[in-house]
Amino acid sequence: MRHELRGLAMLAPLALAACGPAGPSAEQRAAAVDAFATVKEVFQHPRCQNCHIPGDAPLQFDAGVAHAQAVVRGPDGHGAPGLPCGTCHGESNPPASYGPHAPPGAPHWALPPPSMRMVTQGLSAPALCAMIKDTKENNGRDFAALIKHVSEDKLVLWGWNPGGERKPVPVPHAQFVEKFKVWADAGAVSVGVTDARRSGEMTNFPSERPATAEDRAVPGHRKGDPIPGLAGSAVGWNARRENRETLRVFEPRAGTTRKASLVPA
Amino acid sequence: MVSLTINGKTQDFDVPDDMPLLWVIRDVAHLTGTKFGCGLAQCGACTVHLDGAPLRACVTPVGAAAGKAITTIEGLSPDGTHPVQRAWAELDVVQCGYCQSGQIMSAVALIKAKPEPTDADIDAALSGNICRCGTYPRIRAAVHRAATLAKETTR
Ligand code: FES
Ligand code: FES
Repeated sequence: MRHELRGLAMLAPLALAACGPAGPSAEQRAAAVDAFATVKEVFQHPRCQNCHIPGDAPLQFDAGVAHAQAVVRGPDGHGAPGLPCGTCHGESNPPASYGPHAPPGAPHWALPPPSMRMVTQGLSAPALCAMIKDTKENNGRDFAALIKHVSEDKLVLWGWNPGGERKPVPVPHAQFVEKFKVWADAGAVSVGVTDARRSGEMTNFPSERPATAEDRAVPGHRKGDPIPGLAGSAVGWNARRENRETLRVFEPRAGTTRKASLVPA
Repeated sequence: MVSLTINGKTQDFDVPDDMPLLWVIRDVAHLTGTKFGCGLAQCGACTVHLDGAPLRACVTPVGAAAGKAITTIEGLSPDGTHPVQRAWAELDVVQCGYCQSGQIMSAVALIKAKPEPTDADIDAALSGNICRCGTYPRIRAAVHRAATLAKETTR
């Protein structure tokens, strides 16, 4: 048992170091992490996130409630056979004379296909960062393709011109693309757990867990209990509820700085 | 002026580009089989096909349909013998009938995309068509029947 703990104590800082690649300078890295916060804000805005969901039922409205008519993702992301998204969502937003409640439109209105869901909903910054870069999850897009997608895709651009009374993505599109490039140009640095913790986004440690079960639905919440070790040290594994992302947590001694690193689930 | 091909017939209509297609079909072309229920893509009563894909005519500006093939309930068959229409008659699906043109147009689209639909497929494809009379169980049975008839017809 003690041996195991020592082993983990060695591993934890190593794994942490692996989060930041050698490439960019400290300032570049900080700027990239900062830029990624804007990327995240956009990717997780209801206009984008309502269809980048883990399940098969898309969401709608600023509140992200289940889409009316129980519509589904379907075999290719374009809805159920016989009820494609295009049945109601045309090539462009309807004229203003149709009122604020007519369905909005943009070319190729759809969800990502079921084989490549590109889920952004509820992901922490580290998890979102990893998803965007993973060609196995992002439809095989390299950075040139990703930048083209976020700068030119008509359905992406709709997020800034959603029509009706829908809230547009609040970050100006040009600024979003610029931030995306800052992050990409710095080698798309992995946004680490410590970065996310610094921004107050993640609640990684059991002691910081929300008190009641209902509160634990908050994004970023992790669940786990540490195994006590030598001289008050502890090690634990926290698994995030919604995506089973696993976080290794090591506490050298009670009350000292805890170290955390993400490990693949 | 908009040129539309409705049920195989091309015609010019002197209407503004942003008039809903449903208005043109019902009030200008006088094809009243397609119904108006909500005008908001909420009920499915106005379903037609555009180049073979289902479409809510009430939220589609007529300009978006120009140059494309529009099919309404009247255009499914000259004599009401489309497999879906036959199944509907055989099972006496209709109650008041208001929603049924839309139901049938959605069912036709479903069977085209999925010739042997399961109950789940039917629910997913017709979930956007509301029937205030609650004929849903008969609709589901009739879609299965129509799929069988369609297969026999093509054989
Ligand atoms: S009238 Fe078009 S969906 Fe209700
Ligand atoms: S039959 Fe009356 S609304 Fe469907």
